[in-house]
Amino acid sequence: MTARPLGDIPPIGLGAAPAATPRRRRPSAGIGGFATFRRAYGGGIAALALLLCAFWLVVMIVLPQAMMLEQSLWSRQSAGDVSLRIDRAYTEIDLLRFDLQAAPAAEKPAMEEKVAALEAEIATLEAQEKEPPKVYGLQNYTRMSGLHFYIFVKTILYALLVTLLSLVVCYPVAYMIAHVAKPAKAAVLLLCLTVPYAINELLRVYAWLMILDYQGVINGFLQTIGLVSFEQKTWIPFLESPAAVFVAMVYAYVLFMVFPILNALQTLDRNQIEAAQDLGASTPRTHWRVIIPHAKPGIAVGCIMTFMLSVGSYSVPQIMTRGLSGDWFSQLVYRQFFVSNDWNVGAAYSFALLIVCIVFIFAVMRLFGVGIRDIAK
Amino acid sequence: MSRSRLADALLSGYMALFLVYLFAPLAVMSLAAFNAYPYPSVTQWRGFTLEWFSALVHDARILRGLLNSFMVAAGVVALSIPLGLAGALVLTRLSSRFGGLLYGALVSPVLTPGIIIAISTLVFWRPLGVGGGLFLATIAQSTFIASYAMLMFMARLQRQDRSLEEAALDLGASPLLVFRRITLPFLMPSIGAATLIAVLQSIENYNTTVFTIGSEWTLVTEIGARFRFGLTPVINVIGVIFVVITVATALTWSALKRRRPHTA
Amino acid sequence: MSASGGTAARGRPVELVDVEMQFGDFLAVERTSLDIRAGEFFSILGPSGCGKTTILRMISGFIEPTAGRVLIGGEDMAGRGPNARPTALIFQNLALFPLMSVAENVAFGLEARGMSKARRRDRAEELLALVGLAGQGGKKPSEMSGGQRQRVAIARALAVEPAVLLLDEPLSALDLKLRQHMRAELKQIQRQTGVTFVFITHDQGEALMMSDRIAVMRRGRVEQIGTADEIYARPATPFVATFVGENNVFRGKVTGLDADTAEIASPFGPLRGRPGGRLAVGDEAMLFVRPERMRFANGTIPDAALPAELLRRDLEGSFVTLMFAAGGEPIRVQLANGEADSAAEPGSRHTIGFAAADARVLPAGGLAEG
Repeated sequence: MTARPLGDIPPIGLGAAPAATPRRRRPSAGIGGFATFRRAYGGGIAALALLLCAFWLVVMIVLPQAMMLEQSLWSRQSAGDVSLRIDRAYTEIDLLRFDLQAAPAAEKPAMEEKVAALEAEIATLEAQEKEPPKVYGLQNYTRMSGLHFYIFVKTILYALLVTLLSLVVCYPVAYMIAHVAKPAKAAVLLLCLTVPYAINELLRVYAWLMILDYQGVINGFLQTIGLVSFEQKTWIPFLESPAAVFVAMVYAYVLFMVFPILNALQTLDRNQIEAAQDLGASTPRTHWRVIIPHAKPGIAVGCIMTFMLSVGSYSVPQIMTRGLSGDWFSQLVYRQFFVSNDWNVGAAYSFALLIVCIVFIFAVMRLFGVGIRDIAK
Repeated sequence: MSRSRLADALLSGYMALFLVYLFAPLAVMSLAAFNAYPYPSVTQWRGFTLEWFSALVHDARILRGLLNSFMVAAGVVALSIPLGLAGALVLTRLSSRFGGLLYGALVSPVLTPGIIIAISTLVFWRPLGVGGGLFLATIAQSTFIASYAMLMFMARLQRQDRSLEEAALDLGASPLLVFRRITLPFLMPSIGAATLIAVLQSIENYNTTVFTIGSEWTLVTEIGARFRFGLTPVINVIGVIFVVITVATALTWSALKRRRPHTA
Repeated sequence: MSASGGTAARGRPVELVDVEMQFGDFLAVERTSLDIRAGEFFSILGPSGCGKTTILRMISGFIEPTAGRVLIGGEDMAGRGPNARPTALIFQNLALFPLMSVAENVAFGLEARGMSKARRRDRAEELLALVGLAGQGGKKPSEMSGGQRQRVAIARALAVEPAVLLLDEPLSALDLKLRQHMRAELKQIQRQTGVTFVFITHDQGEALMMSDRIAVMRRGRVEQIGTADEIYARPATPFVATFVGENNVFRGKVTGLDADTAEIASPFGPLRGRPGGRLAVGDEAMLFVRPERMRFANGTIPDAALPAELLRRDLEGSFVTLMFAAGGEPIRVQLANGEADSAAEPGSRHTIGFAAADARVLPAGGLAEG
């Protein structure tokens, strides 16, 4: 009975209905929802689906994130201080033992007691040295050094720039495939876009490494026209500039911008574009008032994907710098985990990155006025 | 009229430039696979060779990495398809006030950088005595690949005619039979597509895998490791193979699509 | 399970006892009781949104009434899902399984009951023959015409040998000619199988033609239950009077009342008709006269005479519809072709009227829209 007109509702005695959603007439939510669900698929499948869902949600998504957050909020007390105290205690025991041999009998029990007390202290200190106590606080975040913080900010700015540039580069491409090219040509173009999209990210970036390398394609070209010489190593060190990471990153993730925008644009009725032009709108105005508003959800998805991929990219900086230098935030995180072995700081850095992504997602959703349901489709 | 023709020409030119931007690097990379020079290069041309292809065939670490990649991919399919299906069924059929929140949570792995998923997985499993390795890489990858699968299943379920399930139920079928004979066959194309996507995503994944793989390796993390030391044109050969497989698949796909334009 | 198409009457009665259906804050069906007899062709007629589909879904078991009981063959159906009830539903969109062949569709209910493959196939073939589709079991539903799909749906529902067949406007998607043909066919299948048919429709012509009895519903309430003749000749409420067939309406207060005549004071003066419902002198009332009961008031003087101006004359083949305006109110008059004054030109003035025996006076109430 979904097609029932609103005016048709019979008056109900109590009239305690919440006015907020008069049109929604689902059988009541919550428990009733599960009853319907169970009726549709039977107890076995309904329970299994809920169980799997719960496993995924709790064991694979929520708990790991929560534990990462927990890990980022404590650190072990530095063990150096404890070691010193242990050494001191040992020295004192040795001294006492030495004195013990010469001491008068009356003083012996007191001195022996003192040795025992020291030995007990050493035992607890040694346990502490092995497993220093946890200290909770924000120290892992606040202790981010100047350099690390600079890299953090730089990574965010670069990722924003990559996103913006990708958007500018991709919009005409998506528009052309969706609305300018004839269907057959559009299909070929789409296929052309799919091919690099399907090739491994590492290899895509690697292709740029070969172009920008010391003896790469560009320097090779410059040598041919006599501007640089390989023998004298006067090549231009593109790879030493952060721009190399930037260029490769745009290349690696540009297609994650094209496809969402393309999907959104393909649902736009061409008649709307023609109607706008027919009403005298200029080309920029048509784009600004008709086409871009329609593409908004696609643009939002494209921006979120591109930003998320670039800000958390480990592969691109790793390859472009050949793992030699690390000036992308993801590399810092990797080093905290696998080089410095400081998981607490690593978790804190990782969580900081997550916060950045969440803020970006909400900012984009707000900016483009789209909801989470529009975003993931 | 002439103004719009100029605009079209500009747009076409731009498109051509964009395609060059996409394909030229791949061409450079492919070309170096056939260069006899021992370091990947096209500027130091030492003559055409196929020796890097035979080097690849004898490269035990790469072959083992490939095997590991397939093992992880198989695990990812086995885990993420049921999870995605369960999520899609719950979200499309269970109307609850928590639906929006649950949807957001189950989709969030798609919007989270891969390294964060990897790290949280690592942190979660360490106290349980599970360290980096193929198992953990499988778990971490499945976390977000299941979200992709779920989105695909949801799109299909939303297009399903609910009265089909009701009709089957009304004819006396048990809910299990309805699921097996009506819902599952309807979902089959999506399950196939999601499986393919899951395999591709798993094999291609680097950012999540490199953090969770421990002392093991997959094809892609091995490629990543070669950049640090031992970079030879063997990597380019792998690139060539990727390109050939992708192009062949794309062409087959479009040929099939052309033959049956209404099914795709 | 009998193996034949089934001529033995196997229909069972359906009783709704004080059922009520509430969705959240919306009352879809008000407290209602219905008694559907075994082997009857029973229609539930009403505009969209009146609650008729809700009643059908309560009988089939897709929803449980929020209050009251559903009995089939005297058995309480509470807690029994659609797959455990002796009913089969034919959906509005038919809901044929697109990925199964026609034969698999027909045999699905038998598969669910664990019948062997060979027996299923034989039975499906029998049923397809019953609906005139012998030998077409190998096709996919998408390869069949609208009428053929209709028959497949009927065969599929009959395969489970239901005691009650529920039909949710299954003819609404067909074109007029096919619809008329399928009406006759459905009626025949119902007679042949003896199954109780509960037929949902918003098409009053369909209900009048096929049904043994009809329940007319409006806004979640049953307004009248009766045979087609009863409903047409003696509507119980203004809504039934205007929803089933056409009626001219005159309004006014009741001025006189006895066992078989009620008089109202209308703007045209006193008008008389047969009383229905609960009337009392002084109440607001409505007097209904079918267009085909209206007459020219020359010669024999009827009980009422209204001066009216002819606005339009529509020749509809065997009969003619004349549209009059009397005191600003439209009045329709339907006459057999030839009986009508063919000289009547639009703009001409006439006196029209009706016999009190052909008019019905009911307490004032809501009319059908449109």
